[in-house]
Amino acid sequence: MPARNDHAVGNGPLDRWRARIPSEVAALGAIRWRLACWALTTGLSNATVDDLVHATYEALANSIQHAYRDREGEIHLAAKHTATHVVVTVTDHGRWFVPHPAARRGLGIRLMHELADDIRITSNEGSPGTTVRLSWRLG
Amino acid sequence: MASNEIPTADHDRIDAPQADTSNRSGRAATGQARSTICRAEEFLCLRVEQPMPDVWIVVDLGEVSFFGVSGLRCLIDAREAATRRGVSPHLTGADHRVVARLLEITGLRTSFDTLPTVDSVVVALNG
Repeated sequence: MPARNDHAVGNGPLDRWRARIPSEVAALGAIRWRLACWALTTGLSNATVDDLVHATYEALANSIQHAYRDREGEIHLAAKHTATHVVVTVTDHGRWFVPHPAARRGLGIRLMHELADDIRITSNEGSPGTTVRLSWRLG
Repeated sequence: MASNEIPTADHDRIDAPQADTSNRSGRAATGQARSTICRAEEFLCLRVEQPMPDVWIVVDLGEVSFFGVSGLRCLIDAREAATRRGVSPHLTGADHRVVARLLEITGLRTSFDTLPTVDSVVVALNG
């Protein structure tokens, strides 16, 4: 299979980073690395960069596992930083229900709640499907 | 139990991929990491389904470069299956941040019998 990671090319100014990611777990390793490189330029501490990368990974993994369980698809990742916050948004175009944080299958969601300063999840029946917005305070 | 020895020379072992900083952006590295989880799960399930007397299971996470919820679920499933059959897997190498933080946040650290290294399990079990 061609190197579909080539789809995941960041562009634009340094205060934002975007990638279109194929719904394959194998694509996530490269994304973790690229996102970490970008996040290190934002002023977040190294420990918080680790949290950001891990929380984003779990959001992407959820989309692959639930939104695109039976088919291929694309996930949009958008990261940006302002004077006060770093915000990462993961958007898929599938359908899935966010489990209750107390449920065992909601382990990834629970983890994201702990790793991020703030998390908002919006689910739609259409497109976009589910959007996970994770944010961290700077300073 | 304490008088039994763990076979240290010929024990079955699933190796984690080495951290290779020169290949951090390649898909080979991630494919390998995923495959490690799959192989580890198969290995653990086999050991749990066919427990042999006087065998201990040690899961060493000391060399993993990333540990997410999917890997944790694999561990939880293996531990639950093992416990039902009276085997208690030990977890080692869980002190470094990438593993410790996940266990701490999910509140699962105390669910596992953790020791620093495989050698320390050998020492503990041989009493």
